[in-house]
Amino acid sequence: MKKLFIIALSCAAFAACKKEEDKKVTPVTPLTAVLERDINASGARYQFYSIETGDTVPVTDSASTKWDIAFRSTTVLLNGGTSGPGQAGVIILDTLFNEVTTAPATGYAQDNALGKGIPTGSNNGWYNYAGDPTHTISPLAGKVFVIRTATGKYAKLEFISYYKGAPVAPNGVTDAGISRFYTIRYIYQPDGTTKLN
Amino acid sequence: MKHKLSIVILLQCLYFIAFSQDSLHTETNDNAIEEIVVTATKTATKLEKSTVPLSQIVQKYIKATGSIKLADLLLEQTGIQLSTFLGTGVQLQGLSAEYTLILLNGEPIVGKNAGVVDLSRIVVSNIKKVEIVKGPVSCLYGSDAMGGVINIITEDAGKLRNSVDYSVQYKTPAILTNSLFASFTKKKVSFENSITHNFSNGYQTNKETIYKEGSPYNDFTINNKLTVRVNDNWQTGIGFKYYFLKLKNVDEITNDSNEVVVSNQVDKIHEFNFSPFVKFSKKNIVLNIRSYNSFYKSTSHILAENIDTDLYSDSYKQLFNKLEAQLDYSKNGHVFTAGAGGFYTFVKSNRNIDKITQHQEFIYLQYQYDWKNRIMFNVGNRTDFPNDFKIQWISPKASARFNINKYFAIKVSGGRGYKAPDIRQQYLNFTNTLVGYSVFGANVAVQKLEELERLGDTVIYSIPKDRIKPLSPESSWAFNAEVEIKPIPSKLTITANYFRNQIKDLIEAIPTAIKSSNNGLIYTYYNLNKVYTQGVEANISYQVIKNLNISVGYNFVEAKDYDVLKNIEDGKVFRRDPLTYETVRVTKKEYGGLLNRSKHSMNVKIYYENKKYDFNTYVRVIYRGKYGWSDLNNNQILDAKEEYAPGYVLLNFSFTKTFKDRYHVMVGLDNMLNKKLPQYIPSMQGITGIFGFSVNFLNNK
Repeated sequence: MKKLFIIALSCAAFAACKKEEDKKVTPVTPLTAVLERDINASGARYQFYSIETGDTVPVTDSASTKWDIAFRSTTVLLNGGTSGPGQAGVIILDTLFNEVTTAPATGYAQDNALGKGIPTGSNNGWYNYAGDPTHTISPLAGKVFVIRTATGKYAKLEFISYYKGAPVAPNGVTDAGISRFYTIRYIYQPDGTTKLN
Repeated sequence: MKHKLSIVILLQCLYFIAFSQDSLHTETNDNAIEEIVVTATKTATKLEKSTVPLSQIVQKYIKATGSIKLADLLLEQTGIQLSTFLGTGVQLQGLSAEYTLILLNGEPIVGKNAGVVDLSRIVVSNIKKVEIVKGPVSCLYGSDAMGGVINIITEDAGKLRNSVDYSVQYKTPAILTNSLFASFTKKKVSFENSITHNFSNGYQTNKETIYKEGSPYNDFTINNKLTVRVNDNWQTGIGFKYYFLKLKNVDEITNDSNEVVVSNQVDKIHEFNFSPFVKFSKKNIVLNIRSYNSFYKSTSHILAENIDTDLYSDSYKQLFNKLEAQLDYSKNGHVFTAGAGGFYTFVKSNRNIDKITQHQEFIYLQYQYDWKNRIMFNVGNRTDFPNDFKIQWISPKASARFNINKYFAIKVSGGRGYKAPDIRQQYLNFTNTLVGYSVFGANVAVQKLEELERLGDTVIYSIPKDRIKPLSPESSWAFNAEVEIKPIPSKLTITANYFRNQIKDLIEAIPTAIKSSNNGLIYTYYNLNKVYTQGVEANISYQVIKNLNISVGYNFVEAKDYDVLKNIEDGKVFRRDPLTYETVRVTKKEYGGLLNRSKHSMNVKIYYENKKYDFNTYVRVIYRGKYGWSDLNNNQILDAKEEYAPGYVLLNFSFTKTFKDRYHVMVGLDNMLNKKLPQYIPSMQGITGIFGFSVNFLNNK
């Protein structure tokens, strides 16, 4: 489970990287992006996950602020509102991951009785459901989820895959057995500021 | 006795063979016939005076290609792309196949599977010619003529000699066609009959499965026409058609107990229609009263061994009745046309709510003027009244032709076309029990949703319920401009046509609500998208020497969605690389427009006829450029390289030799370059042979 892929953010954006080098700007220590593979959301219970520690959280801690986000099939919970005791909420932006440099101060949607902060349904929240005949679930590209964590810190997150191993072209029918495994990528700001790069 | 017969038929009433033309009854000059076109204006017009983009395929070429099915023939024409989703259909000017109206002798062919008339249902054996009008300028036909009209014109019994023809043809790998054609004229009565039988025992390309890519089938088409010329002014007659298809296939599926079992598919279609007409002509006046009645029934079942329920079951019945009257008055180059009519349709299908009946009335007016063979123009309008007279759908048109000199002419036309929402979009009631999603037609969605709520299911709306409304027709405005250059009159003709279609209110099903019981999505239909299509079609036809014709056609088309373009402009359309997970913004240049349209397509045809040795040969090269296949990266648009199907070239050749004026032997080789694209076009079989023989038993000249 603990396969952490560290990507230096400044090098993920090649063009930006080159420019910075050319200008010889001394950057503040850049935050690193975490690529978390294959979070198992196929069980009957939610799989809880802490963005702060980058690890899963046992279900026994579900009533605490130790977790930020939880997954069960296509439903995603945030630790706040009706889902937990934390402060977690989300702002969904239609943009590129690298272009989100600051988390907004307000406007975070929390899970509530009418719906989730990250809405369920095809093209509503984080995924598209292809319907007949493939029934594939595909994360929407260009959706960046700015997350306020359970403890009130900030992160930005994107969904990469719903299938184990993040195959290039999953098929909802033939790959049904490896579905419900989330691959996500995020950048967490531990210092409590809204700066996300 | 004969008199009695004609009265009976007169009472039964009314039909009009679109082509039937005054005072030409016994005319057999092929050239004269070829130059008369009817589709664009609903009146007989000389091709060289046509004001709109119009082309035709005449019998000489139809026969020379050795085509059995209409689809094979149309595939070779400039500006026509076939689509094979839910039946073979035809795209014109970048509009999808459901926007092409297919007529048989001026009357619509009913029985549409998801909006498309399956062209593989139509055999070419008794077709005299096919007229193709592009753009909505033939709006006098009403709904569905947005992209254009294809009018299949069969032999006109009133103009035939007595003859009996029999032909047999075999097309590899597995289609055998027999057809018999007979026509008799005695004094005032003409009768024409054609019977065609196609038989195929199917073929397989992938031998690892038991499924046959070419399904085994049998189909029969019987066509009859009876025409009676009562006296100099009155003419009456009736046409009948019966079509039957039975298609079978097998496949292997895994059942619930994880056993591999054989599934059997059986599809059947019955279609019967009859079309009486009466026609009165005197001096400048022609009155046509015609009726068209069609009954269509199709069933499709897939059953598996050891499974009780059908894996797939579909049944569809449609009854269509139409009555129409048209009056033409012509004098000194002016032609006035007025028409009125109505139709009634009844549909029963297991996919829809109960039984559905609809009726619609319409009127149309048209005025044409020919000024000294220099300027011709045509204005017209059709108004439809669907179900009641509260709503009106208006389709005006205007077109003009300027013959600048004998080398140069310009045609300009514009008009509005529409497509009425189909039965499925209005009344569909479909639930996929396996996955749990439902699709409801717009007219029944509210009722069905409230029903679910009453049954205790919580329904969460993503689109407010009051946004669900009866659908408006999809509609378009179109503009066409064409230049026609004849550097060597009657030998070399060059035409180039620019077209643009602005289409709005496209109907699409999108998720409206979610059932909380099973998280099942509920879709319904809305008038949503706005798209445009534009392009250029160019044709060169050159008679190099007598009996040697070369033609070249080129078509450029693009079709794009305005919302997508706007979103791209706003930087809201993205694409993720599945390997690096990097997301980038899609650029306007990368947006490939609507799927299944080749930006570039081309054809070259060479026809040679040798009168001395009585043979002809016809070589056709058909190029279709790459086209959008499917959205693989899930951003709902065509943008990445791998989302395109590759282009291809077909080389088709045929040779026909005639012996003693009555025996014809035909040999054809289609797809001589042996092109195969199993992933995209399973029916493309590689090289295909066609062997045909026909004989004319009786031919009173």
